[in-house]
Amino acid sequence: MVALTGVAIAIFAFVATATPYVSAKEAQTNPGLRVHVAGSIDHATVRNDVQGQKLYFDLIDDQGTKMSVVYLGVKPSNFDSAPKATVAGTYKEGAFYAKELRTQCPSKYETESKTP
Amino acid sequence: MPTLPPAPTFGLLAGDVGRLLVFVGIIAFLLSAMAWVRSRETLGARMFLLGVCCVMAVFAIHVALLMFKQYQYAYVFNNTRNQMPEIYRFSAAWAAQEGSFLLWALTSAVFAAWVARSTGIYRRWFTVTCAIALAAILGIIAYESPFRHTPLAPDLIATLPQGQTTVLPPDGRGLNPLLQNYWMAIHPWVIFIGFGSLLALFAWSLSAGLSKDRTSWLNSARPFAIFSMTVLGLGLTMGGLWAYETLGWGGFWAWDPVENVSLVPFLAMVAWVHTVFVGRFRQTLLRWLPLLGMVPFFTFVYGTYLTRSGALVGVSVHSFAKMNEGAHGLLLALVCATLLTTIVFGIVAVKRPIEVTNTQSPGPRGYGIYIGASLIYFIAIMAAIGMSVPFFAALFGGQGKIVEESHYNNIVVWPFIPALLLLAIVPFLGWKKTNPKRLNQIANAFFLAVMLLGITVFLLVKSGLTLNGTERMNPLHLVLFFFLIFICAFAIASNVYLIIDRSINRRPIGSFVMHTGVVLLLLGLIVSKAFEKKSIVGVPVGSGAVLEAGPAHYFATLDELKEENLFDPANSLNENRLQIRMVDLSQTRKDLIFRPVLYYTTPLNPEEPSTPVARPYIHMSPLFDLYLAVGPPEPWFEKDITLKPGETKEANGVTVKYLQATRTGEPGQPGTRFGARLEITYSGKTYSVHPEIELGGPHGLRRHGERAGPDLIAVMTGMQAENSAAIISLARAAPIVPMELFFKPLASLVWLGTGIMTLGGFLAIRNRKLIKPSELHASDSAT
Repeated sequence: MVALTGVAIAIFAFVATATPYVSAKEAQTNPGLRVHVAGSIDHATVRNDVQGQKLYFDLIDDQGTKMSVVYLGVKPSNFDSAPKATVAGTYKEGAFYAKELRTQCPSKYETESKTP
Repeated sequence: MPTLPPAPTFGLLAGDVGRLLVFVGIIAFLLSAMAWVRSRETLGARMFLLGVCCVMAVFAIHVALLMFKQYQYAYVFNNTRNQMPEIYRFSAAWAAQEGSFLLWALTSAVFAAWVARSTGIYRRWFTVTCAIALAAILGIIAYESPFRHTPLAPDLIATLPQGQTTVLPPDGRGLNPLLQNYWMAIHPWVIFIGFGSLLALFAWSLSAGLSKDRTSWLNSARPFAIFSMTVLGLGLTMGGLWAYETLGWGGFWAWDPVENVSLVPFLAMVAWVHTVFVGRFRQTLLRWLPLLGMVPFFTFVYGTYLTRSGALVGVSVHSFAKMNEGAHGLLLALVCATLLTTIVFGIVAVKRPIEVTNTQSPGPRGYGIYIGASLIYFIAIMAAIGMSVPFFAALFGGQGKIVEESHYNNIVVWPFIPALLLLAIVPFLGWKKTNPKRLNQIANAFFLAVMLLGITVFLLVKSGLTLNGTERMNPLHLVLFFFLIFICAFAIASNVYLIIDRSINRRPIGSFVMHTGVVLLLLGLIVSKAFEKKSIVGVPVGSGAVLEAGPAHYFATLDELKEENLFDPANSLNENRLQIRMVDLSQTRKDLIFRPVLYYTTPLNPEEPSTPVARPYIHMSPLFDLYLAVGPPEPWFEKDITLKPGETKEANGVTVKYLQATRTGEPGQPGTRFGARLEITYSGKTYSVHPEIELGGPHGLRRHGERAGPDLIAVMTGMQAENSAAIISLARAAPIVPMELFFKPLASLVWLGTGIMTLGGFLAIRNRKLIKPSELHASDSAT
């Protein structure tokens, strides 16, 4: 019984600490909270500070809200061709500081390819 | 648009035969199931064999279409191209969704046919279960067919000569560059053999649950279960090694949902193999073993559904295809049917009266193994819950959630500690009571572990790590890591002690070799991650930069980037390597040459963008790995600064002043140049430049950049006619290549552990086959 209770508590803790996916607006209204935000990359706004290891760009979520993102790391190799990205981090002082950046591959498997 | 030739008849015929054989296979498996239900064994066995032959033939046709470049099929067109090496053309057979389902069907069918002869009295319901499941998998393949024709572009259809309905495209789109790796030829096969084995063990367990005889199947099923466990473990670690070599994030395992989908059935199989070991010998848990034996297959089918349902899109590094609706429905039905079967037949197995001749208490050793198995189940449950969170969040329309890597590490580390302790102690315990001599041996192993800890610390210091490198770690984490290293050392010492002891006495050692390999692998994962150091810098082409990752202290220089190497029409990774000289600044090691891969793909359709592809370079040594990941070169210092005449703007420490707009020639005429006279100031010096844009001409719009001092080139990227504003970008005189150097101590243990674990697994299978059932009692009791 004690073991089962322990397992139940561990499961509850596991699920409760899962990081939520939120909209850009929700991220902006909850500064300091670690969240994931998914959206389209505005490639016109991309600025890569290689020496400073920062990548700046705007992310537009499904509701059309634009959010400035500062990614603290090296630009992923497929970033320039990726249509969408998911960032994980916290919003503070006017920008979303992402510690993780996951780009969505423009995978050929996801669309029906036709002969050229 | 050029006219394309019609698809060759033999290719079209082969595809039609492939499609037909899928349906023949479904019918054969269903007839086999019906025949076995009616106890018409000969007919059932023949139909089952016919079904297996159909699956093999479908797979052979699928491979042949790939090898003979039959681009009229969408699968071949989307996953291969002319210039691909043959090995990747062959590997493309399982690169996409349809191929992976076919590989699953093949390995499941062949494994089931192999095992069937050993199932004895359980064969009837074993075959019925396997046949129905294989018919369902073939049903998915019927919908998700690798023999679908490539859709033709509407403008191409319009140009086809009258009567021509098919075309053979001259080339395909090619395999995803990340999949063009030697692991692609090895890893999927291995892991799918493991996945394929789960169906047979599920069916065997179900059949055993319907029988009163719950003992005889354990002897014959256990070697196959050990095989399944070994191959799954090998496949998983191969996947980790592939990720390490390819993805550039310097790690082996990230608790990604797709990784967990493979991990959970493996852990369920590990726990089951250990439970069977006790159950078979002490005649305990015999009612429960069939139910537990069905769990690994259910978790795999459920995990397969998770990865194909689309719930994990955006939360996994793996990419997914959208399933055909019919195939999706069938897979969902398979998941529900497997769950229902596991519950119903599991309850039947538990409730049904059984024949037990000699039930004994598990004893200290048996209880120890049960506790260890429970801990493994706990880890499996946590991984299963973690991977399911995004799915259930999506299912119930709630807020999406994901369990992050750090949460897994924080939770899973706790059951690992007692599990490793049990791995060290339990093999010494007796079945009834423990001989005091054995307790002395545990003490000896403990002191050996202290020595091993000392050796590990010495190796860490020898690799160059000092307290300076670790002092930034949280002290609690540091203590925990050293405690984990000690526990691993204890488990290794105990198992090595037993290997030596048993080898002297000519007794089987397979399981202890496997335990040693697993713990070495874990030790490599823990140490290489816990004491990892990294450094990220941008290295200008033609000069260099310092990379300092812990004790690794290098000056990296990159002489040039050759355009012919960066753009590769074959999209192959063979020749496109940078040459980076790493000059050792610590003066304790040799200078090195690192050759990471970097190139841009050449898409079949010129309108699609080229994608940079990078692959890290790993300098391996017994003490540490130096892992260098590179990114695509960054040519721009600042892009698109819009200035009106007379305006000044500052960007990243560089001041740009727009003095005057210029024009040479008449507007609208080819060759006319529009320019901007600028003053660019940085590092205390001002440079006057005059970048221009030239209209028309054979090359279209041409930009004439001008050098602004030693570091920058001013480029006019656009202009606004209404207010004479110029859009200026500043390019770097030397593009910067981002580089990330990881120092990973004792990463070699991961490779060593994998090899030893696999060797141990196969030794264990061999031992089980060599030992006659009558000898099992003596063999087991002696330990």
